[in-house]
Amino acid sequence: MDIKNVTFAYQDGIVRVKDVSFSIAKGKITTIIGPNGSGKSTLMSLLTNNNKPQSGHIYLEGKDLNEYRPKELAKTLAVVHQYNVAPRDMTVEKLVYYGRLPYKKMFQQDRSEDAEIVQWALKVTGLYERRHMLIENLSGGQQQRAWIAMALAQKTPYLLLDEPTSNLDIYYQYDILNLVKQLRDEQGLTIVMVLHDINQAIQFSDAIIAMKDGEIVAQGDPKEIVTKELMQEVYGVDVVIKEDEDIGMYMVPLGV
Amino acid sequence: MNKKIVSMLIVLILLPLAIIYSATTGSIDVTAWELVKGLFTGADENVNIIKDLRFPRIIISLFAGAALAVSGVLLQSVMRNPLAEPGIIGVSSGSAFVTLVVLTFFPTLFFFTPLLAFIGGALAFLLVYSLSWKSGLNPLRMILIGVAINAVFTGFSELLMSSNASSMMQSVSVTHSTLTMKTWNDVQIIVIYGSLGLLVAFFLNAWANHLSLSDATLHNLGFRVNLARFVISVVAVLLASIATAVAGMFTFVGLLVPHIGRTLVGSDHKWLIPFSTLAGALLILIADTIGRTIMAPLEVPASIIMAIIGGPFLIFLLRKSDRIYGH
Repeated sequence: MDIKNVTFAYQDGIVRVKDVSFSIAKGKITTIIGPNGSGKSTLMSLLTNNNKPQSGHIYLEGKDLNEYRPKELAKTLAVVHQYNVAPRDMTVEKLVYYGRLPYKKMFQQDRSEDAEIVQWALKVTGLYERRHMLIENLSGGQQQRAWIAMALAQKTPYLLLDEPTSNLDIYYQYDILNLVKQLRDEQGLTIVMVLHDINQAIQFSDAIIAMKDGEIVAQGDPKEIVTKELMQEVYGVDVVIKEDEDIGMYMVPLGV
Repeated sequence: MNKKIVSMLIVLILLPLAIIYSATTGSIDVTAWELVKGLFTGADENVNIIKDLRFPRIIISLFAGAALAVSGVLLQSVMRNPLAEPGIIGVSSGSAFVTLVVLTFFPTLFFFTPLLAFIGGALAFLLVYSLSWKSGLNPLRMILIGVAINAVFTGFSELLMSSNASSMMQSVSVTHSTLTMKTWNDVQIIVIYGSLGLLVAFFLNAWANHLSLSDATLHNLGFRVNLARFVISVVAVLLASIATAVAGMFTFVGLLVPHIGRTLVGSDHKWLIPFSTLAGALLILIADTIGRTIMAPLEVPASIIMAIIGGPFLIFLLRKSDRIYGH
Protein backbone atom coordinates (compact mmCIF):
# COMPACT_ATOMS: atom_id res chain seq x y z
CA MET A 1 0.00 0.00 0.00
CA ASP A 2 1.50 3.32 -1.06
CA ILE A 3 0.36 6.70 0.17
CA LYS A 4 1.54 9.60 -1.95
CA ASN A 5 1.27 13.28 -0.91
CA VAL A 6 -2.14 12.88 0.67
CA THR A 7 -3.85 15.97 2.07
CA PHE A 8 -7.27 16.11 3.67
CA ALA A 9 -9.45 18.62 5.50
CA TYR A 10 -12.99 18.29 6.82
CA GLN A 11 -15.66 20.85 5.97
CA ASP A 12 -14.48 23.10 8.80
CA GLY A 13 -11.39 23.80 6.70
CA ILE A 14 -8.84 22.63 9.24
CA VAL A 15 -6.27 20.47 7.50
CA ARG A 16 -6.12 17.16 9.37
CA VAL A 17 -3.66 15.34 7.12
CA LYS A 18 -0.90 17.36 5.46
CA ASP A 19 0.99 16.08 2.46
CA VAL A 20 1.57 12.65 3.94
CA SER A 21 3.57 9.98 2.12
CA PHE A 22 4.57 6.51 3.24
CA SER A 23 4.52 2.87 2.25
CA ILE A 24 3.11 -0.08 4.09
CA ALA A 25 5.15 -3.26 3.88
CA LYS A 26 3.34 -6.44 2.92
CA GLY A 27 2.91 -9.10 5.56
CA LYS A 28 3.91 -6.72 8.36
CA ILE A 29 2.19 -4.90 11.19
CA THR A 30 2.32 -1.13 10.81
CA THR A 31 1.07 0.98 13.71
CA ILE A 32 0.08 4.63 13.57
CA ILE A 33 0.64 6.53 16.83
CA GLY A 34 0.19 10.14 17.84
CA PRO A 35 -1.62 12.34 20.35
CA ASN A 36 -5.34 13.14 20.18
CA GLY A 37 -6.07 15.34 17.20
CA SER A 38 -2.84 14.38 15.44
CA GLY A 39 -4.82 13.17 12.44
CA LYS A 40 -4.25 9.46 12.89
CA SER A 41 -7.93 8.59 12.83
CA THR A 42 -8.45 10.84 9.81
CA LEU A 43 -5.55 9.13 8.09
CA MET A 44 -7.19 5.79 8.90
CA SER A 45 -10.47 6.99 7.36
CA LEU A 46 -8.53 7.83 4.19
CA LEU A 47 -6.81 4.44 4.08
CA THR A 48 -10.19 2.74 4.50
CA ASN A 49 -11.75 4.90 1.77
CA ASN A 50 -14.34 6.35 4.15
CA ASN A 51 -12.95 9.74 3.21
CA LYS A 52 -11.30 10.71 -0.03
CA PRO A 53 -8.02 12.68 -0.18
CA GLN A 54 -8.37 16.23 -1.46
CA SER A 55 -5.03 15.82 -3.14
CA GLY A 56 -2.63 12.95 -3.49
CA HIS A 57 -3.24 9.27 -4.06
CA ILE A 58 -3.51 6.05 -2.14
CA TYR A 59 -2.46 2.96 -4.07
CA LEU A 60 -3.51 -0.48 -2.98
CA GLU A 61 -1.76 -3.31 -4.85
CA GLY A 62 -0.68 -0.69 -7.37
CA LYS A 63 -4.19 0.57 -8.06
CA ASP A 64 -5.67 3.88 -6.88
CA LEU A 65 -8.35 3.40 -4.20
CA ASN A 66 -10.67 5.57 -6.27
CA GLU A 67 -10.55 3.08 -9.10
CA TYR A 68 -11.77 0.18 -7.01
CA ARG A 69 -15.40 -0.80 -7.23
CA PRO A 70 -16.91 -1.04 -3.71
CA LYS A 71 -17.07 -4.84 -3.60
CA GLU A 72 -13.69 -5.26 -5.20
CA LEU A 73 -12.17 -3.06 -2.50
CA ALA A 74 -13.99 -5.03 0.19
CA LYS A 75 -12.33 -8.18 -1.16
CA THR A 76 -8.89 -6.63 -0.82
CA LEU A 77 -9.08 -4.58 2.36
CA ALA A 78 -11.07 -5.29 5.52
CA VAL A 79 -11.60 -2.83 8.35
CA VAL A 80 -12.48 -3.10 12.01
CA HIS A 81 -13.73 0.29 13.13
CA GLN A 82 -13.37 1.75 16.57
CA TYR A 83 -17.10 2.01 17.21
CA ASN A 84 -19.32 -0.79 16.05
CA VAL A 85 -23.04 -1.35 16.27
CA ALA A 86 -25.02 -4.51 15.76
CA PRO A 87 -28.67 -5.27 16.46
CA ARG A 88 -29.31 -6.58 19.94
CA ASP A 89 -30.52 -9.95 18.79
CA MET A 90 -27.74 -10.75 16.30
CA THR A 91 -25.67 -13.87 16.87
CA VAL A 92 -21.90 -14.00 16.46
CA GLU A 93 -22.20 -16.32 13.48
CA LYS A 94 -24.68 -14.07 11.74
CA LEU A 95 -22.38 -11.09 12.19
CA VAL A 96 -19.43 -13.00 10.76
CA TYR A 97 -21.56 -13.90 7.73
CA TYR A 98 -21.64 -10.18 6.94
CA GLY A 99 -18.00 -10.58 5.99
CA ARG A 100 -19.21 -12.56 2.98
CA LEU A 101 -21.31 -9.66 1.70
CA PRO A 102 -18.75 -8.49 -0.89
CA TYR A 103 -18.89 -11.93 -2.52
CA LYS A 104 -22.64 -11.97 -2.87
CA LYS A 105 -24.87 -10.74 -5.60
CA MET A 106 -28.18 -9.11 -4.71
CA PHE A 107 -30.70 -11.61 -3.28
CA GLN A 108 -28.12 -14.41 -3.46
CA GLN A 109 -28.21 -17.00 -0.68
CA ASP A 110 -25.19 -18.17 1.31
CA ARG A 111 -23.16 -20.82 -0.43
CA SER A 112 -21.29 -23.73 1.17
CA GLU A 113 -18.04 -21.91 0.51
CA ASP A 114 -19.30 -19.00 2.62
CA ALA A 115 -20.16 -21.38 5.46
CA GLU A 116 -16.65 -22.85 5.38
CA ILE A 117 -14.98 -19.46 5.47
CA VAL A 118 -17.23 -18.23 8.29
CA GLN A 119 -16.37 -21.36 10.24
CA TRP A 120 -12.68 -20.76 9.62
CA ALA A 121 -12.92 -17.13 10.76
CA LEU A 122 -14.75 -18.19 13.91
CA LYS A 123 -12.09 -20.79 14.69
CA VAL A 124 -9.16 -18.43 14.06
CA THR A 125 -10.64 -15.91 16.47
CA GLY A 126 -11.54 -18.59 19.02
CA LEU A 127 -15.26 -17.85 18.83
CA TYR A 128 -16.44 -21.09 17.28
CA GLU A 129 -17.87 -22.41 20.55
CA ARG A 130 -19.68 -19.11 21.08
CA ARG A 131 -21.04 -18.73 17.57
CA HIS A 132 -24.69 -19.00 18.63
CA MET A 133 -24.37 -16.42 21.38
CA LEU A 134 -25.76 -12.93 20.98
CA ILE A 135 -23.19 -10.21 20.37
CA GLU A 136 -24.49 -8.15 23.28
CA ASN A 137 -23.91 -11.04 25.67
CA LEU A 138 -20.19 -11.21 24.84
CA SER A 139 -17.55 -9.35 26.83
CA GLY A 140 -15.94 -6.31 25.21
CA GLY A 141 -12.88 -8.27 24.20
CA GLN A 142 -14.91 -11.06 22.66
CA GLN A 143 -17.03 -8.54 20.81
CA GLN A 144 -13.84 -7.11 19.35
CA ARG A 145 -12.87 -10.64 18.31
CA ALA A 146 -16.25 -11.04 16.63
CA TRP A 147 -15.71 -7.89 14.56
CA ILE A 148 -12.25 -9.11 13.63
CA ALA A 149 -13.80 -12.44 12.62
CA MET A 150 -16.21 -10.58 10.35
CA ALA A 151 -13.30 -8.76 8.73
CA LEU A 152 -11.42 -12.06 8.31
CA ALA A 153 -14.42 -13.59 6.56
CA GLN A 154 -13.85 -11.00 3.85
CA LYS A 155 -10.71 -12.99 3.01
CA THR A 156 -8.63 -9.93 2.27
CA PRO A 157 -4.84 -9.64 2.25
CA TYR A 158 -5.11 -6.33 4.15
CA LEU A 159 -6.64 -5.76 7.59
CA LEU A 160 -7.00 -2.29 9.10
CA LEU A 161 -7.86 -1.82 12.76
CA ASP A 162 -8.80 1.53 14.26
CA GLU A 163 -7.85 1.56 17.95
CA PRO A 164 -8.65 -2.12 18.45
CA THR A 165 -7.66 -2.07 22.13
CA SER A 166 -9.40 1.09 23.35
CA ASN A 167 -12.12 0.46 25.94
CA LEU A 168 -10.75 -3.00 26.69
CA ASP A 169 -9.21 -4.09 29.96
CA ILE A 170 -5.53 -4.99 29.93
CA TYR A 171 -6.15 -8.72 29.53
CA TYR A 172 -8.16 -8.25 26.38
CA GLN A 173 -5.81 -5.58 25.06
CA TYR A 174 -3.06 -8.17 24.93
CA ASP A 175 -5.47 -10.87 23.88
CA ILE A 176 -6.42 -8.82 20.81
CA LEU A 177 -2.82 -7.83 20.06
CA ASN A 178 -1.71 -11.45 20.23
CA LEU A 179 -4.47 -12.33 17.83
CA VAL A 180 -3.28 -9.59 15.48
CA LYS A 181 0.25 -10.95 15.62
CA GLN A 182 -1.04 -14.44 15.00
CA LEU A 183 -2.94 -13.21 11.94
CA ARG A 184 0.27 -11.77 10.53
CA ASP A 185 2.28 -14.91 11.23
CA GLU A 186 -0.23 -17.59 10.33
CA GLN A 187 -2.41 -15.92 7.71
CA GLY A 188 0.23 -13.63 6.25
CA LEU A 189 -2.01 -10.58 6.55
CA THR A 190 -0.75 -7.04 6.07
CA ILE A 191 -2.01 -5.15 9.11
CA VAL A 192 -2.33 -1.44 9.76
CA MET A 193 -3.62 -0.27 13.11
CA VAL A 194 -3.95 2.77 15.30
CA LEU A 195 -2.82 2.38 18.91
CA HIS A 196 -2.67 4.70 21.89
CA ASP A 197 -0.24 2.73 24.01
CA ILE A 198 3.37 3.29 22.91
CA ASN A 199 4.70 0.18 24.62
CA GLN A 200 2.14 -1.96 22.85
CA ALA A 201 3.08 -0.31 19.59
CA ILE A 202 6.78 -1.06 20.21
CA GLN A 203 6.06 -4.61 21.21
CA PHE A 204 3.70 -5.61 18.42
CA SER A 205 4.71 -3.55 15.37
CA ASP A 206 7.16 -4.10 12.58
CA ALA A 207 6.93 -0.42 11.72
CA ILE A 208 5.61 2.67 13.47
CA ILE A 209 4.31 5.88 11.94
CA ALA A 210 4.33 8.77 14.42
CA MET A 211 2.01 11.65 13.61
CA LYS A 212 1.61 15.15 14.95
CA ASP A 213 -0.59 17.96 13.61
CA GLY A 214 -1.46 16.02 10.51
CA GLU A 215 2.11 15.31 9.54
CA ILE A 216 4.37 12.32 9.87
CA VAL A 217 7.16 13.08 12.33
CA ALA A 218 8.93 9.75 12.12
CA GLN A 219 8.43 6.36 10.58
CA GLY A 220 10.25 3.07 10.58
CA ASP A 221 11.43 0.30 12.87
CA PRO A 222 10.14 0.97 16.41
CA LYS A 223 13.59 0.30 17.88
CA GLU A 224 15.11 3.02 15.79
CA ILE A 225 12.49 5.72 15.84
CA VAL A 226 11.04 5.59 19.37
CA THR A 227 13.43 7.89 21.22
CA LYS A 228 13.30 10.28 24.15
CA GLU A 229 13.44 13.19 21.70
CA LEU A 230 10.59 11.87 19.54
CA MET A 231 8.30 11.35 22.53
CA GLN A 232 9.07 14.88 23.70
CA GLU A 233 8.35 16.26 20.25
CA VAL A 234 5.20 14.28 19.50
CA TYR A 235 3.53 13.99 22.89
CA GLY A 236 5.37 16.64 24.94
CA VAL A 237 6.09 13.98 27.54
CA ASP A 238 9.36 13.21 29.31
CA VAL A 239 10.20 9.54 29.07
CA VAL A 240 12.99 7.11 29.71
CA ILE A 241 13.52 4.37 27.24
CA LYS A 242 15.11 1.17 28.46
CA GLU A 243 16.28 -1.96 26.83
CA ASP A 244 15.92 -5.18 28.75
CA GLU A 245 17.38 -8.49 27.69
CA ASP A 246 14.22 -10.43 28.43
CA ILE A 247 11.47 -8.04 27.54
CA GLY A 248 13.12 -5.92 24.87
CA MET A 249 12.65 -2.19 24.54
CA TYR A 250 10.12 -0.32 26.70
CA MET A 251 9.26 3.20 27.61
CA VAL A 252 8.33 4.73 30.95
CA PRO A 253 6.67 8.16 30.94
CA LEU A 254 7.95 10.48 33.70
CA GLY A 255 5.94 13.65 33.36
CA VAL A 256 5.02 16.57 31.16
CA MET B 1 -37.87 -19.72 16.42
CA ASN B 2 -41.02 -20.94 18.13
CA LYS B 3 -42.05 -17.54 19.37
CA LYS B 4 -41.74 -16.18 15.83
CA ILE B 5 -43.93 -18.84 14.28
CA VAL B 6 -46.53 -18.67 17.05
CA SER B 7 -46.73 -14.88 16.74
CA MET B 8 -47.15 -15.09 12.99
CA LEU B 9 -49.83 -17.76 13.34
CA ILE B 10 -51.73 -15.69 15.89
CA VAL B 11 -51.98 -12.66 13.59
CA LEU B 12 -52.78 -14.96 10.67
CA ILE B 13 -55.72 -16.39 12.61
CA LEU B 14 -56.89 -13.11 14.12
CA LEU B 15 -56.91 -11.29 10.79
CA PRO B 16 -59.70 -13.28 9.07
CA LEU B 17 -61.66 -13.35 12.32
CA ALA B 18 -61.44 -9.57 12.59
CA ILE B 19 -62.46 -9.19 8.94
CA ILE B 20 -65.53 -11.37 9.43
CA TYR B 21 -66.47 -9.62 12.65
CA SER B 22 -66.02 -6.20 11.09
CA ALA B 23 -68.03 -7.15 8.01
CA THR B 24 -70.96 -8.49 9.97
CA THR B 25 -71.14 -5.91 12.76
CA GLY B 26 -72.43 -2.33 12.68
CA SER B 27 -75.57 -0.42 11.88
CA ILE B 28 -76.66 -3.41 9.83
CA ASP B 29 -76.04 -6.71 11.55
CA VAL B 30 -75.91 -9.92 9.56
CA THR B 31 -74.57 -13.33 10.45
CA ALA B 32 -71.46 -14.64 8.76
CA TRP B 33 -73.57 -17.21 6.95
CA GLU B 34 -76.00 -14.59 5.62
CA LEU B 35 -73.04 -12.58 4.46
CA VAL B 36 -71.47 -15.43 2.49
CA LYS B 37 -74.84 -16.43 1.03
CA GLY B 38 -75.67 -12.85 0.11
CA LEU B 39 -72.32 -12.36 -1.58
CA PHE B 40 -72.91 -15.33 -3.85
CA THR B 41 -76.58 -14.77 -4.63
CA GLY B 42 -76.59 -10.98 -4.60
CA ALA B 43 -80.18 -11.17 -3.41
CA ASP B 44 -79.75 -9.95 0.14
CA GLU B 45 -80.28 -6.16 0.31
CA ASN B 46 -78.38 -5.84 3.56
CA VAL B 47 -75.39 -7.70 2.20
CA ASN B 48 -75.40 -5.53 -0.90
CA ILE B 49 -75.21 -2.43 1.27
CA ILE B 50 -72.40 -3.99 3.28
CA LYS B 51 -70.61 -4.83 0.07
CA ASP B 52 -70.78 -1.26 -1.16
CA LEU B 53 -70.12 0.54 2.11
CA ARG B 54 -68.38 -1.75 4.53
CA PHE B 55 -66.15 -3.76 2.23
CA PRO B 56 -64.24 -0.84 0.74
CA ARG B 57 -63.73 0.42 4.24
CA ILE B 58 -62.39 -2.90 5.47
CA ILE B 59 -60.04 -3.32 2.53
CA ILE B 60 -58.78 0.23 2.90
CA SER B 61 -58.24 -0.24 6.63
CA LEU B 62 -56.24 -3.39 5.99
CA PHE B 63 -54.03 -1.86 3.34
CA ALA B 64 -53.56 1.43 5.16
CA GLY B 65 -52.55 -0.40 8.33
CA ALA B 66 -50.14 -2.67 6.50
CA ALA B 67 -48.64 0.20 4.52
CA LEU B 68 -48.15 2.46 7.53
CA ALA B 69 -46.69 -0.29 9.70
CA VAL B 70 -44.20 -1.35 7.01
CA SER B 71 -43.41 2.28 6.25
CA GLY B 72 -42.54 2.66 9.93
CA VAL B 73 -40.29 -0.40 9.83
CA LEU B 74 -38.46 0.91 6.78
CA LEU B 75 -38.06 4.46 8.11
CA GLN B 76 -36.72 3.10 11.39
CA SER B 77 -34.18 1.06 9.49
CA VAL B 78 -33.12 3.92 7.21
CA MET B 79 -32.88 6.47 10.00
CA ARG B 80 -31.61 3.98 12.59
CA ASN B 81 -34.17 5.44 14.91
CA PRO B 82 -36.81 3.38 16.69
CA LEU B 83 -39.01 6.47 16.92
CA ALA B 84 -39.10 7.29 13.23
CA GLU B 85 -42.66 6.98 12.04
CA PRO B 86 -44.42 8.53 9.06
CA GLY B 87 -46.98 10.28 11.28
CA ILE B 88 -44.52 11.68 13.78
CA ILE B 89 -41.84 12.91 11.40
CA GLY B 90 -44.29 14.68 9.13
CA VAL B 91 -44.35 12.40 6.08
CA SER B 92 -48.08 11.80 6.53
CA SER B 93 -48.93 15.45 7.11
CA GLY B 94 -46.84 16.41 4.06
CA SER B 95 -48.86 13.95 2.00
CA ALA B 96 -52.11 15.08 3.55
CA PHE B 97 -51.36 18.72 2.84
CA VAL B 98 -50.57 18.17 -0.82
CA THR B 99 -53.60 15.91 -1.19
CA LEU B 100 -55.71 18.63 0.36
CA VAL B 101 -54.33 21.27 -1.98
CA VAL B 102 -55.19 19.08 -4.94
CA LEU B 103 -58.69 18.30 -3.75
CA THR B 104 -59.37 21.97 -3.02
CA PHE B 105 -57.89 23.72 -6.03
CA PHE B 106 -57.56 21.10 -8.73
CA PRO B 107 -60.32 18.56 -8.16
CA THR B 108 -59.87 17.34 -11.74
CA LEU B 109 -56.44 15.97 -10.83
CA PHE B 110 -58.11 13.52 -8.46
CA PHE B 111 -56.55 10.50 -10.11
CA PHE B 112 -53.07 11.86 -9.60
CA THR B 113 -53.53 12.19 -5.84
CA PRO B 114 -51.32 9.19 -5.08
CA LEU B 115 -48.46 10.75 -7.02
CA LEU B 116 -48.98 14.20 -5.53
CA ALA B 117 -49.32 12.77 -2.03
CA PHE B 118 -46.02 10.98 -2.63
CA ILE B 119 -44.36 14.26 -3.57
CA GLY B 120 -45.69 15.87 -0.39
CA GLY B 121 -44.48 12.98 1.75
CA ALA B 122 -41.08 12.95 0.06
CA LEU B 123 -40.71 16.68 0.62
CA ALA B 124 -41.39 16.33 4.34
CA PHE B 125 -39.04 13.36 4.57
CA LEU B 126 -36.23 15.18 2.77
CA LEU B 127 -36.60 18.15 5.07
CA VAL B 128 -36.42 16.04 8.23
CA TYR B 129 -33.60 13.94 6.87
CA SER B 130 -31.39 16.77 5.69
CA LEU B 131 -32.03 18.89 8.79
CA SER B 132 -31.11 16.08 11.16
CA TRP B 133 -28.22 14.75 9.09
CA LYS B 134 -25.80 17.24 10.57
CA SER B 135 -26.40 16.00 14.09
CA GLY B 136 -25.52 12.49 12.94
CA LEU B 137 -29.18 11.50 12.78
CA ASN B 138 -29.41 11.89 16.55
CA PRO B 139 -32.65 10.09 17.44
CA LEU B 140 -34.29 12.65 19.69
CA ARG B 141 -33.22 15.64 17.66
CA MET B 142 -34.65 14.02 14.55
CA ILE B 143 -37.97 13.52 16.29
CA LEU B 144 -38.01 17.17 17.36
CA ILE B 145 -37.34 18.30 13.81
CA GLY B 146 -40.04 15.89 12.63
CA VAL B 147 -42.51 17.33 15.11
CA ALA B 148 -41.75 20.82 13.80
CA ILE B 149 -42.15 19.80 10.15
CA ASN B 150 -45.32 17.96 11.07
CA ALA B 151 -46.70 21.05 12.81
CA VAL B 152 -45.94 23.24 9.79
CA PHE B 153 -47.72 20.97 7.33
CA THR B 154 -50.62 20.40 9.69
CA GLY B 155 -50.86 24.16 10.12
CA PHE B 156 -50.98 24.71 6.38
CA SER B 157 -53.69 22.09 6.08
CA GLU B 158 -55.80 23.73 8.78
CA LEU B 159 -55.28 27.10 7.17
CA LEU B 160 -56.52 25.75 3.91
CA MET B 161 -59.52 24.16 5.53
CA SER B 162 -60.60 27.21 7.48
CA SER B 163 -60.25 29.43 4.43
CA ASN B 164 -62.23 27.12 2.25
CA ALA B 165 -65.34 25.88 3.97
CA SER B 166 -66.98 24.52 0.85
CA SER B 167 -64.64 21.55 0.58
CA MET B 168 -64.86 20.93 4.30
CA MET B 169 -66.27 17.47 3.97
CA GLN B 170 -63.47 16.20 1.80
CA SER B 171 -60.81 18.00 3.77
CA VAL B 172 -61.78 16.44 7.04
CA SER B 173 -61.52 13.00 5.55
CA VAL B 174 -57.90 13.64 4.67
CA THR B 175 -56.66 15.11 7.92
CA HIS B 176 -58.74 12.96 10.24
CA SER B 177 -59.25 9.53 9.01
CA THR B 178 -62.88 8.58 9.22
CA LEU B 179 -62.79 5.90 6.56
CA THR B 180 -66.46 6.55 5.85
CA MET B 181 -67.74 7.16 2.35
CA LYS B 182 -64.92 5.20 0.79
CA THR B 183 -65.64 3.82 -2.65
CA TRP B 184 -64.25 1.05 -4.79
CA ASN B 185 -62.22 3.71 -6.60
CA ASP B 186 -60.32 4.41 -3.39
CA VAL B 187 -59.88 0.68 -2.92
CA GLN B 188 -58.37 0.39 -6.35
CA ILE B 189 -55.76 3.06 -5.68
CA ILE B 190 -54.64 1.71 -2.34
CA VAL B 191 -54.65 -1.92 -3.45
CA ILE B 192 -52.55 -1.28 -6.53
CA TYR B 193 -49.94 1.06 -5.05
CA GLY B 194 -50.07 -0.54 -1.62
CA SER B 195 -49.43 -4.05 -2.94
CA LEU B 196 -46.63 -2.75 -5.10
CA GLY B 197 -44.94 -1.00 -2.18
CA LEU B 198 -45.41 -3.94 0.17
CA LEU B 199 -44.04 -6.37 -2.38
CA VAL B 200 -40.91 -4.29 -2.94
CA ALA B 201 -40.54 -3.93 0.83
CA PHE B 202 -40.50 -7.73 1.23
CA PHE B 203 -37.70 -7.98 -1.30
CA LEU B 204 -35.74 -5.27 0.46
CA ASN B 205 -35.63 -7.14 3.78
CA ALA B 206 -31.92 -7.99 3.44
CA TRP B 207 -31.00 -4.37 2.76
CA ALA B 208 -33.04 -3.19 5.71
CA ASN B 209 -31.14 -5.70 7.85
CA HIS B 210 -27.78 -4.49 6.60
CA LEU B 211 -28.57 -0.94 7.69
CA SER B 212 -28.43 -2.03 11.32
CA LEU B 213 -24.63 -1.96 10.99
CA SER B 214 -22.81 1.38 10.88
CA ASP B 215 -22.30 3.24 7.61
CA ALA B 216 -18.52 2.88 7.83
CA THR B 217 -18.72 -0.87 8.40
CA LEU B 218 -21.12 -1.31 5.50
CA HIS B 219 -18.98 0.88 3.29
CA ASN B 220 -16.00 -1.36 3.97
CA LEU B 221 -18.11 -4.41 3.16
CA GLY B 222 -18.61 -2.98 -0.32
CA PHE B 223 -22.28 -2.27 0.35
CA ARG B 224 -23.78 0.80 -1.35
CA VAL B 225 -25.28 2.32 1.77
CA ASN B 226 -26.66 5.45 0.17
CA LEU B 227 -28.28 3.60 -2.69
CA ALA B 228 -29.98 1.22 -0.24
CA ARG B 229 -31.08 4.15 1.94
CA PHE B 230 -32.52 5.95 -1.05
CA VAL B 231 -34.47 2.97 -2.38
CA ILE B 232 -35.83 2.01 1.03
CA SER B 233 -36.82 5.62 1.75
CA VAL B 234 -38.71 5.87 -1.53
CA VAL B 235 -40.68 2.74 -0.72
CA ALA B 236 -41.36 3.92 2.84
CA VAL B 237 -42.61 7.31 1.68
CA LEU B 238 -44.69 5.73 -1.07
CA LEU B 239 -46.44 3.42 1.40
CA ALA B 240 -47.12 6.19 3.90
CA SER B 241 -48.35 8.65 1.26
CA ILE B 242 -50.72 6.21 -0.38
CA ALA B 243 -52.18 5.26 2.97
CA THR B 244 -52.60 8.92 3.89
CA ALA B 245 -54.01 9.96 0.52
CA VAL B 246 -56.68 7.27 0.66
CA ALA B 247 -57.32 6.61 4.34
CA GLY B 248 -56.24 9.88 5.95
CA MET B 249 -53.80 10.62 8.73
CA PHE B 250 -52.89 7.97 11.23
CA THR B 251 -50.17 8.35 13.78
CA PHE B 252 -48.50 5.68 15.88
CA VAL B 253 -49.31 2.67 13.68
CA GLY B 254 -45.81 2.75 12.23
CA LEU B 255 -44.43 2.98 15.75
CA LEU B 256 -46.60 0.57 17.65
CA VAL B 257 -46.60 -2.33 15.22
CA PRO B 258 -42.87 -2.52 14.40
CA HIS B 259 -42.01 -2.24 18.06
CA ILE B 260 -44.34 -5.04 19.06
CA GLY B 261 -42.97 -6.94 16.07
CA ARG B 262 -39.39 -6.60 17.29
CA THR B 263 -40.22 -8.06 20.67
CA LEU B 264 -42.21 -10.91 19.14
CA VAL B 265 -40.35 -11.89 15.96
CA GLY B 266 -37.02 -10.08 16.44
CA SER B 267 -35.25 -7.41 14.43
CA ASP B 268 -34.65 -9.56 11.33
CA HIS B 269 -36.63 -7.84 8.60
CA LYS B 270 -37.29 -11.13 6.87
CA TRP B 271 -39.78 -11.71 9.70
CA LEU B 272 -40.43 -8.17 10.82
CA ILE B 273 -41.80 -6.90 7.50
CA PRO B 274 -44.34 -9.71 6.95
CA PHE B 275 -45.36 -9.57 10.60
CA SER B 276 -45.83 -5.80 10.51
CA THR B 277 -47.87 -6.10 7.32
CA LEU B 278 -50.34 -8.44 8.99
CA ALA B 279 -50.33 -6.83 12.42
CA GLY B 280 -50.66 -3.31 10.97
CA ALA B 281 -53.64 -4.41 8.89
CA LEU B 282 -55.18 -6.02 11.95
CA LEU B 283 -54.61 -3.01 14.18
CA ILE B 284 -56.28 -0.43 11.91
CA LEU B 285 -59.14 -2.74 11.13
CA ILE B 286 -59.77 -3.23 14.83
CA ALA B 287 -59.40 0.49 15.52
CA ASP B 288 -61.89 1.32 12.78
CA THR B 289 -64.32 -1.37 13.84
CA ILE B 290 -64.20 -0.18 17.45
CA GLY B 291 -64.54 3.40 16.25
CA ARG B 292 -67.73 2.80 14.35
CA THR B 293 -69.41 0.49 16.86
CA ILE B 294 -68.45 1.82 20.27
CA MET B 295 -70.69 4.90 20.21
CA ALA B 296 -73.00 3.93 17.35
CA PRO B 297 -74.65 5.59 15.58
CA LEU B 298 -71.86 8.13 16.16
CA GLU B 299 -68.53 7.31 14.60
CA VAL B 300 -65.19 7.80 16.27
CA PRO B 301 -62.47 8.11 13.62
CA ALA B 302 -60.04 5.20 13.65
CA SER B 303 -57.17 7.68 13.85
CA ILE B 304 -58.53 8.96 17.17
CA ILE B 305 -58.71 5.44 18.55
CA MET B 306 -55.10 4.98 17.36
CA ALA B 307 -54.00 8.23 18.97
CA ILE B 308 -55.53 7.24 22.29
CA ILE B 309 -53.69 3.92 22.25
CA GLY B 310 -50.54 5.27 20.65
CA GLY B 311 -49.84 8.34 22.76
CA PRO B 312 -49.10 6.52 26.00
CA PHE B 313 -47.16 3.95 24.04
CA LEU B 314 -44.90 6.62 22.56
CA ILE B 315 -44.07 7.87 26.04
CA PHE B 316 -43.28 4.33 27.06
CA LEU B 317 -41.00 3.92 24.05
CA LEU B 318 -39.21 7.21 24.61
CA ARG B 319 -38.40 6.09 28.11
CA LYS B 320 -36.65 2.97 26.93
CA SER B 321 -35.49 4.02 23.46
CA ASP B 322 -31.87 4.20 24.63
CA ARG B 323 -31.62 0.48 24.53
CA ILE B 324 -32.93 0.05 21.03
CA TYR B 325 -30.33 -0.10 18.27
CA GLY B 326 -27.66 0.34 20.92
CA HIS B 327 -27.67 4.14 20.94
